[in-house]
Amino acid sequence: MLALFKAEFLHYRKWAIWLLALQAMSWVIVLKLNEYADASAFDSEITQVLSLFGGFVFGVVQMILATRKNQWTFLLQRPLNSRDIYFAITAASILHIFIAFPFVWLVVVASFDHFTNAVVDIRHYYMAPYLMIYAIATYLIGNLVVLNASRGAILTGFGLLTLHNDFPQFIWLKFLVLTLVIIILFYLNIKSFKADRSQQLKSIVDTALMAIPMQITLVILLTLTTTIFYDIPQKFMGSHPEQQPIEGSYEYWRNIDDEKRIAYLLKDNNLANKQLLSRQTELAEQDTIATFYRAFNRKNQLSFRDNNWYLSDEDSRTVWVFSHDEMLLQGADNFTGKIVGWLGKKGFIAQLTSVNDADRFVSVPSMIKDQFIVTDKSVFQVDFANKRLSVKLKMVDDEHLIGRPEFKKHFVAVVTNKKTYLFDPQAFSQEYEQAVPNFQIPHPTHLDSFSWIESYRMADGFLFTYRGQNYYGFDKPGAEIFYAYANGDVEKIHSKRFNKYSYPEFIRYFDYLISPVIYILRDNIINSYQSLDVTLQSTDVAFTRSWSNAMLLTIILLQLSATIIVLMLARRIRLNQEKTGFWLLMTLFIGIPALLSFLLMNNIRHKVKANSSANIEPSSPLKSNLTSNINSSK
Amino acid sequence: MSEFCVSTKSLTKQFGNKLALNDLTLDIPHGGIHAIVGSNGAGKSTLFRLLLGVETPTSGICTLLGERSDNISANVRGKVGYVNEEHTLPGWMKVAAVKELQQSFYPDWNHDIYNKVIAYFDVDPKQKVSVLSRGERAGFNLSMALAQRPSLLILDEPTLGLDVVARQSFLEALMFTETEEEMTTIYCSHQMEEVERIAEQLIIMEKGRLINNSTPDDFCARVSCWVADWDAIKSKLGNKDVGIPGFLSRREIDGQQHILVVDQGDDFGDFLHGQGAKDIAQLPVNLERAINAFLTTNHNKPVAL
Repeated sequence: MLALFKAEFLHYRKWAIWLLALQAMSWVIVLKLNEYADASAFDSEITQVLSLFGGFVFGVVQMILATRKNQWTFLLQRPLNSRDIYFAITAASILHIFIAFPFVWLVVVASFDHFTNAVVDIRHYYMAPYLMIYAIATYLIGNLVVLNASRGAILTGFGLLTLHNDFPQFIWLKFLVLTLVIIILFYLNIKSFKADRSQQLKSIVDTALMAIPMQITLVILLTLTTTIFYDIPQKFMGSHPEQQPIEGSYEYWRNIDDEKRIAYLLKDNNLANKQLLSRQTELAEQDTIATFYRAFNRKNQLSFRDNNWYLSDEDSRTVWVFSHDEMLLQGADNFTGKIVGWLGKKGFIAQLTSVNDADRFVSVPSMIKDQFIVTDKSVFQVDFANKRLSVKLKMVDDEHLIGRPEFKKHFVAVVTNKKTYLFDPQAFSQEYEQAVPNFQIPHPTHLDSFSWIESYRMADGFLFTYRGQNYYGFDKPGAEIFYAYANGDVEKIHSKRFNKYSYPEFIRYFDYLISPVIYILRDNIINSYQSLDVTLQSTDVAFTRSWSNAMLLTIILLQLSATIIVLMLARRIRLNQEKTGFWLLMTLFIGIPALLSFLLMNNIRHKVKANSSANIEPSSPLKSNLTSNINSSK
Repeated sequence: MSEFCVSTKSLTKQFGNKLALNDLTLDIPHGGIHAIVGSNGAGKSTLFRLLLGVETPTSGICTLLGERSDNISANVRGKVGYVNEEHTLPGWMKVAAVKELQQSFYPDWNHDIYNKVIAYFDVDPKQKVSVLSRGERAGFNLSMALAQRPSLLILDEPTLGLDVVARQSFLEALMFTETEEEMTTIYCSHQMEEVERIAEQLIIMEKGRLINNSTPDDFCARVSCWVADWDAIKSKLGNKDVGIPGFLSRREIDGQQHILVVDQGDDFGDFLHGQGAKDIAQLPVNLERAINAFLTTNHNKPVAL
């Protein structure tokens, strides 16, 4: 086995070294181009993408070359069982992957750590094992695509890979999920690495391990099919709801010019001054405030997720980079790299030895506008000239920011999980003291129900519209108008529920038609792990949604039809009872994606043909006189 | 130990609409050199692929050294040497490294056999496999296959594309190297002179079916060539050859019709007489001619316009 490992290593050694050299050159260029660079400066997303495609392409190419007719026989025809052969090949490939991807990263990070004052945290080193296991996972997917008899193997691979993307905030969880993905892929590959690769996996466990992750990818792909069978043809014919929305629908209102939207909403309102309001909004300056959750940096996160991780002071030519290990900002001279001090949540500190725990930030902040340090509970403002730090804003109790402050022409908006605060932009940026909001507007409904607020600057305050496709609940679009007067009072002046729909029901409910269970489960699983990062409805909400009878009936009919088709085909190809039962359960539970995976994992046409040919008496192309005396010597 | 080193029963393999193997039942006993001949598409390589388990039959079963081909153990794989027409070897490695690699899998590796066989070919151990000529690769491949001391050696058209000298060396190395007495060799080739020289048993396949399994001599004895006056036969049978029992082929030479037939005794002369033939004589048939006659009988021909 060791000999086979060596032989396989020799096979692709040069390619791995070439990739290593290419990355090393890229680093040299990046360091030359940037005046200041630290371990986060290199776009590690590029490295990640390189690992993804590099691993996958290597996995595919290696197995395509190994499985060519005679190569395959040469590889297998030796006194080793196929599991050991695959193990040797994979072990060599892991070494290739180490050389090609994380090795350069490790060298560069270690060099920064030991030869410069640049901030290097332990998390920067984590990138190396992450790149390694990420590339191994994609490599194994590449292998599976070639080795497995199912044409849907790639769907299984990427279904598994998407799992780890859903857990971005906990590094241990990311590693754990990727490790599990690798174990599953390795197991499937071992099972698929057999002399006759055209044979499907036999056991129920193997079939389930292939089929279940496939559902995730199939659901995503099926969801995208509306573009092909609905959006493109409708747009081509000029009848798409975006082009010709039905009057009175949410889409119709969204299509109206910005300055006339308020007038349209107020059309059926009895307000005495609605004409005046409408005219004002036509002339008013408009802006938008984002109200969806934007993840903050997290302690020890992988460096490709870093955003706004440093402050730059041009006057003192210093750069202040946040260190996750110290939970402080480290100041360094822009040109010499010499450390000039530290910045904690209580202010500037000259020496690291003087720092105590109270100085350290509790969570990892984001830095904006080269003077603000933002965490989900506070906004700090830095005055580099006077070496002081002031608390601009502090949330109390369970209130927290859902994003960074948004700087607009006439206000600075801070959105929390409870309210939207508006501040005077001049005072917010130039006065080094706690900011006092001009307006505080409690969210009129759950934060999930809207993702944008539109503002209109009026003569004596602001007009705000809150809107959303699910504003009044699932598939109940609506909008509300609030008037924020100059004295700080806020008044709701109009509510509108859009009762007409531009999109047909089957398009609006398409995700649920495909597979209600997968859709709801996926929401629920993600929600249970990271309720802070995404704003998804819980399972309860999904089940309490009101469904039209027609949709319910369609969903039931689709599930049943898919199950009946599976049953008929399973009988046709003479699938054993155990497997038939598995597929029937899968389809009854999951629906159309399960039917598709059944088709992809059972070569129906081939099996039907084989079954029918097995019933036919073999033909005799020869004259009887040639075959009558075949074994004459016996 | 199984009675046969290779055994197939009603073996059928279908690729789409093409029937590569058609209800093939074949038993190959241990020992000796068994030549498999057949025209292109006869199913020889498919048979090997099924035997080695890299493909699964549409129906029927096959066994290799007593084990079902769809579940061959590592132990049996170690007892089977396989040399294909491409002489697939890791081109990125040096000859010595490849030898070391293969040797590591076989505890009974025979250095003497390896050295004797490789001596027929001009192969430098320091050379990369990718720079070896086709003949050198064939020799290197054979050396390793024999040094493994296999119970069964499958050679699938090993001399394809080799020049005369390389082919000669290959055959000499195969024939004159002392290997295990019980080693069975299955030799597939289109070269009739090779088959004539080495085959102890002759297996002929056509269109996925077995049409002969006997010694070459027995096979030759089955085929006879008769020279007769054509016009007399023509007047009796017209242009139809199907009326001739055991008919394989006929050719006109110097106004005489040379008719090849299978499994016909001396009474075939009486048959010809009965059809009005004159000047009838029987000629001996060599192996190549007999095989060619067998293989061309059912060969597709363009429809006459």
